Amino acid sequence: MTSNVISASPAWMLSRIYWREAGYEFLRMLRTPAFALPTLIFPLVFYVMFAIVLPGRWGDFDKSAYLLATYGVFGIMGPALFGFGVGLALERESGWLALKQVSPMPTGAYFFAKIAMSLCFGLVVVILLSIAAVGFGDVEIALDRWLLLVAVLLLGTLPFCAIGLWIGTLVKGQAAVAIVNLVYLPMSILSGLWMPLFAFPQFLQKAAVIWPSWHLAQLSLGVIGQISDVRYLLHVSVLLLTTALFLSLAAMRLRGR
Amino acid sequence: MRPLPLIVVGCAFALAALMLMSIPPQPPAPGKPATTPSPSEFVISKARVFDGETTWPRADVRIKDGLITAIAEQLEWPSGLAVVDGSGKTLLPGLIDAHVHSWGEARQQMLRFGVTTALDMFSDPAQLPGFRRDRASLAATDRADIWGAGALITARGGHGTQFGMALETFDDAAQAQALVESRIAQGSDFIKFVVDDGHAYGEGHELPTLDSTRITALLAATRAAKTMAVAHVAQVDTAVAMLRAGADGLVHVFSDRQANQQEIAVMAETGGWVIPTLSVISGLSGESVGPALGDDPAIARLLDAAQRDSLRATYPPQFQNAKHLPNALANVAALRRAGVDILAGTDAGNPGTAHGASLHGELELLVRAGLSASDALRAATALPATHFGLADRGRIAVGLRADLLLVEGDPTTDIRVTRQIVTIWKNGAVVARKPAPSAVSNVQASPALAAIDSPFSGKALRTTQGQHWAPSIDAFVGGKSTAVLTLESEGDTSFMRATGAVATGTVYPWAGAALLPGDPPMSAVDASQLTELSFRLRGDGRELLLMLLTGENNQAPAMQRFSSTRDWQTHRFKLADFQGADATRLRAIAITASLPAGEFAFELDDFELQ
Repeated sequence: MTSNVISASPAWMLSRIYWREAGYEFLRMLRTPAFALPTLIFPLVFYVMFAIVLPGRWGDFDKSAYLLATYGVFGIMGPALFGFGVGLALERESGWLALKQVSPMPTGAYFFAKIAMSLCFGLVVVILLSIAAVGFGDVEIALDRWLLLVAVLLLGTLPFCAIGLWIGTLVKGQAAVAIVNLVYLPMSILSGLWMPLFAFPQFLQKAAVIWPSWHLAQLSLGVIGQISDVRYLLHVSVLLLTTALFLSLAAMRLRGR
Repeated sequence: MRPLPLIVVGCAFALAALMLMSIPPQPPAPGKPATTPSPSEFVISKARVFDGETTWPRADVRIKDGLITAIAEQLEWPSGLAVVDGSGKTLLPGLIDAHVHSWGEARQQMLRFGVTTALDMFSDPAQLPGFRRDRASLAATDRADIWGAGALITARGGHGTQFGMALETFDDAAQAQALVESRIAQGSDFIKFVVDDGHAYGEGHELPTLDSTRITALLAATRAAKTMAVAHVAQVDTAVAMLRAGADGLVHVFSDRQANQQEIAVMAETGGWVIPTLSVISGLSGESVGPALGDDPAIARLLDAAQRDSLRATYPPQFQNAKHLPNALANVAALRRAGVDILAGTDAGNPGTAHGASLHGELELLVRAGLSASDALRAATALPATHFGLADRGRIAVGLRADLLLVEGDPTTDIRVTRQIVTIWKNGAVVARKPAPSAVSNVQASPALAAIDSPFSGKALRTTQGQHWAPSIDAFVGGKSTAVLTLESEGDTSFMRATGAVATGTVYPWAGAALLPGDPPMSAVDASQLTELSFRLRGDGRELLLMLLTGENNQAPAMQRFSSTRDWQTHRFKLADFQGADATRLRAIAITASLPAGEFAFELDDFELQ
């Protein structure tokens, strides 16, 4: 490891490396249409379809606001899982990670860049959804509530970054795409992100507690005011523990190598 | 690294524990406002069943997932299925009110009274897509379904333009096709047009209306668009003319006079139908059935504040004419004898009516006009469904929507029994019938009003107690009348002068002066401890109106007329004489000039309310 040399550099040099790496990571992903288009456009298209175009009334739920919260979760999961999972797997296969590891760049910058990229993409998705919701779905949300929703969703990317990271350490190359999709889509549907859970059989409604995305959706639905009596501490704990669990698993994989 | 596996195992256990803790005991589901959970499949057994056309002395009806799945004198069903005992009761199709103006809480108000569907004859067209969406659903709901005309079609300045809503008028026959197409594009289920020159309401109420060129063009356009055209008429002559010209039906019965045999026969030959709206005509006749309906205990317990006020509200005296109701009743009887289909509609939304409640009053009026109780029930179930093409409702038959009404007793012999509602089902789900708490609780006690006197001795147009006088004009209903108030003096007395002009352009134009006793202005005060209103007034000899604005904000004012004199004269009025006023919620007292149009001036002094 060469990190000793680097950590002796002035702090501003170090932070410049972090930011540059993050900036180029973002640019690179933006220039990868196979990544950027689905992660940015899919949640928006689904939201417009289910929340705005298709008719229906859900009792005292406000459909447009409810789905803004759940598609927001869906939207931030994409960049986190794919950015980390698929990105890492591809870069391990191509040897790019190994090259980075021997370069005089701190390993932290590599992960920081991926997290920053996930947050940026997540933010863009949430902004796109919010424009659709407020502009066309008649959703009324106060600015402070909206900022809180954005904050919850962005912090909620952490467990998915961790899961993505772990998947990226398990398999190499294109296999990761398949695995991530196998996790991403069922988890989204079964946590009620596409259509609300009350449309599902009872046992699936109860089983939803095993998905971190369900816990994040509870937080965002609570923030947007669509469900009450949300046990915020409980859901936050689940998300933090999930992050810790998958980070540890990933670290075991990386070190075991 | 040692600690990592430990962290993994620790996290996994903690996660499992937290996940178990977060299993929701009752996963969140959409609340069903104003409906209580009811089984999706059940049988209503042993009830007398009026199926929209005929009466079964005893039958079983099975319902599943919002639809009627079976009806027979004796059904078999698996044990375990929920059963509603209907013995001694009568099951009816959900009622249809064939003439309403729906806004605000109207749809919830209707459903509480068993009106599961209504035909809207003019309201905000922006509601139409929502009406369409909702009526296609079989989900439990707290509101009635609506088919609507959207915006009506009338001449510039004609009936329908007085409500202050933006309305594209029909000024040139060449517009007909485009107008019909634009209404259909807005979502209108049928076209309603107005042929009413105001003549039926007496002199001074003349209004512009559609001429025969435009009517012919309009009816050609509706035929070409394969849509129904229904006509608002008030007179026998126009009624005959419209049905002969090809209108599908009339949304009011004519009441200017009794039609003769030949006129009735001509109308019957056209196959057209009539929605009499006797409820609103009783109000135009000065003998509104609204207050009595509101006092019927079976109705009263389900009324919210707005409905109660609306039942008590009256038309301005200059619109009341005692001939309307007798003429209307006689015409309905003659139409029925000639075989014309009569459809029950209330015109709810107007003074003297309330959504839902008034349909029960309308049924009673139809029986009073000479229909049998069963005919009256047909008029509110199968007939409107047939004539307006509501294929999924209006009768109790297999495959139709389970919009049902269970009443105690036999409405086919006593029509007033429709009010004895035991259960209402909409889309197969039981409807909770309590008026919305918000609707009840907004009847907060208003602050009590102490006696007022206004000698106009100060420098401002205020009462001694500090309340303001303000000009009162018809601008907010689209009028152009003007009024100016000034403080004047003559020798050692001072008084208020009101001058201005009443302009035509709206149906009830007015201009004058108003005293707003509440703070903030137009808020309600309780004047029930006060009894008499007096003032000195001199003017130009015109007839003036003394109006009390009370109750809900949009309630029609209660009023009395009096003549101004060229010399000062003292006028006294008892508050109790203002028919329809709710003195516990007084918002404004106004003295105004109305029709005929033209300039006016009056001077007011020593105004007292005590």
